[in-house]
Amino acid sequence: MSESASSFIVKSQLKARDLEHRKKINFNIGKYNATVPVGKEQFSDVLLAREKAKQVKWKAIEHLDKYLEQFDIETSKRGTKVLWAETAEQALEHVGRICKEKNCRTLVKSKSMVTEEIHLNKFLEKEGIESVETDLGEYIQQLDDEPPYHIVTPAMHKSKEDVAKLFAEKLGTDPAATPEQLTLVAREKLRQKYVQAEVGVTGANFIISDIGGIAVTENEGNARLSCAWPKTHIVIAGIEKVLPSISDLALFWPLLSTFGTGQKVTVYNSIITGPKQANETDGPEEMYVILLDNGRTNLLANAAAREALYCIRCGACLNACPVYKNIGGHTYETTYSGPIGSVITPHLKDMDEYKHLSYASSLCGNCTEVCAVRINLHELLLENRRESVLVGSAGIAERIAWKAWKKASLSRSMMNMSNGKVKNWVVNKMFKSWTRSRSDLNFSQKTFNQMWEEFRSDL
Amino acid sequence: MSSAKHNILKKIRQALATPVPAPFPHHENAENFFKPSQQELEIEFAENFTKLLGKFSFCADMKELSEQLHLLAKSRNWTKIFCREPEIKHDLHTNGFSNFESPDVHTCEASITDCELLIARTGSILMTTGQRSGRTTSVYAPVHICIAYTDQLVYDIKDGIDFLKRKYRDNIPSFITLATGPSRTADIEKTLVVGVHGPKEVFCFLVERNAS
Ligand code: SF4
Repeated sequence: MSESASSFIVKSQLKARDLEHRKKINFNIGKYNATVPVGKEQFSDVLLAREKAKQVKWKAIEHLDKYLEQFDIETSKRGTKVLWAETAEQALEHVGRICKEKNCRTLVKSKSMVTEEIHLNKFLEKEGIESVETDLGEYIQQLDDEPPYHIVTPAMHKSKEDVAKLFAEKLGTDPAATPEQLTLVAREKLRQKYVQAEVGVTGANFIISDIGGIAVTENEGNARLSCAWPKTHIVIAGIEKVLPSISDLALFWPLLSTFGTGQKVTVYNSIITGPKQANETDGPEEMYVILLDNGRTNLLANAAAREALYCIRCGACLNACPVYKNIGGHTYETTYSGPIGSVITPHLKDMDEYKHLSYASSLCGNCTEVCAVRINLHELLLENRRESVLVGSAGIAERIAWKAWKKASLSRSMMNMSNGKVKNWVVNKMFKSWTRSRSDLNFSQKTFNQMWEEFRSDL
Repeated sequence: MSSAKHNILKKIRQALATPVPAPFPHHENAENFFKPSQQELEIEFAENFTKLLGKFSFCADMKELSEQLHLLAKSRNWTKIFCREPEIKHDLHTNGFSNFESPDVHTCEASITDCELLIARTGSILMTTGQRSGRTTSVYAPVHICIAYTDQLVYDIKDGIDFLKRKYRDNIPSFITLATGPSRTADIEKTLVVGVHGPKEVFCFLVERNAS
């Protein structure tokens, strides 16, 4: 078993029993569940909207090379510099070089999962650059020196008391402060930073090909400020974020908002197509877009799993997942958690190391049910399981056990030889991991053939 | 071409040599996903904008707008209002409002901008850097006051995007934003707090004007 797998199992067992954790998560997800239907009301046919969105993403991904090149050409016309990165290291090198050129000492950053994926903050710290998370949830997580717990709601696992305590410890504020007061503290602290920072970093919810722009969805205004004040704006985006046209946003903005937070649209949905233009009043002098592969082309090359690249990171599948709710976001120890994380991580990183995540599912299908762009998540989890066994990454003992079992169950005479006691022994002993977190399996004392005969004679 | 670009595009093309079938080809031309408007756009906008804690006011003409602004500034004791739009300043000035003492957005108490359009369905204000207010004015000021005209109302985001495409063609501004209500967060226990990094209050004064 891989190291990640062992750690995952231990941590899941601990978290699943942590009732305090469960209470906070249920409270948060309960609020989410209450608002999503309100957002959905705006659609005349929400299923049609989701299916259309999947169709659009299919088109974008099936012609990914064409759309990325078009984006590159169009945005370059407005002075944006497009850089490509095959790996996290290459992306960090780009950022490092730009920061050095600009003598950057302070960098403001808006919420972006891809910067978590490449561990940007750790890198900047080593370079001696202060990186300031400006999204409130990320700011809280940065103060606590913890990675985000959830792709949309980074501090979902903290109660307001937890946050008040954290702020009191780190910033010396009143330990009984309310969410309003805490927010105000963050506002005051960060307002100065936007103006001081030499560089602003944002992610991109979408890369828009036809006009050569990137789109950022947010509620707080920190992303807008991060690409308004600093002289240099760096965007880091996964290559799969493409939408063919600016017109697609009329569907994708409301869809992402509804499935992400239950809003009709979030407060700010912005498109950035370049640095400040000659006739414009303000804005950065330079803009860079770093297009990151980092394993995404592996997923693309796998036709069966390719649709996982359609994900718009709304977080709905995390909120719907019984496993996520019980073991929590940190237990996964991956940048992307929950069902979508379990689907993509083995492809982005390493099948052997992360295949266990594909088993962290009850296959209830709730993720597929709620997915904003109708990705068949639970089927992709099964697909991963199949692949991990095919490429031989299931444990040897496990594979021999399955082989023996398969042989026995295929051969009727061998099956009929053994009554339930033998089967119980075979299964419960050979598949030790089955019984670790489940009770022993109890097979009937009669064989199937015996039962069938009895059933027939009763007719 | 950088080698990274070359390698990535090569890998993509190799991968796409195996296509996957379209999931919903019959939806290729589907277009209308949202409920149609049930009422006049002014009312639709006002309702949606107010629901999101926006503050809405209707003015019959520029004179009434100037009076309302005057009253608002007085009730809030504002002395430092920031505005970068020469036309608005001029129009307000001729109608008796010229309280624009703030030299910059850093120290102002409120900012005044215009907009490209209002989107009725979502209660949103569409702004771009095609306007003098630029990227900072409407987001850094603690209070944002938007002045819009009745001929700037459209129903859906789609209409707004079509408008921008027609207006700017190949010269799309470097920054476009669809702003919907005051800045907000729910990052602490999903408790709604208004005024995180952007404005705590957003006003929209809708002034009667016939399309010229
Ligand atoms: S897989 Fe679907 S539900 Fe999950 S985050 Fe992505 S788009 Fe949302």
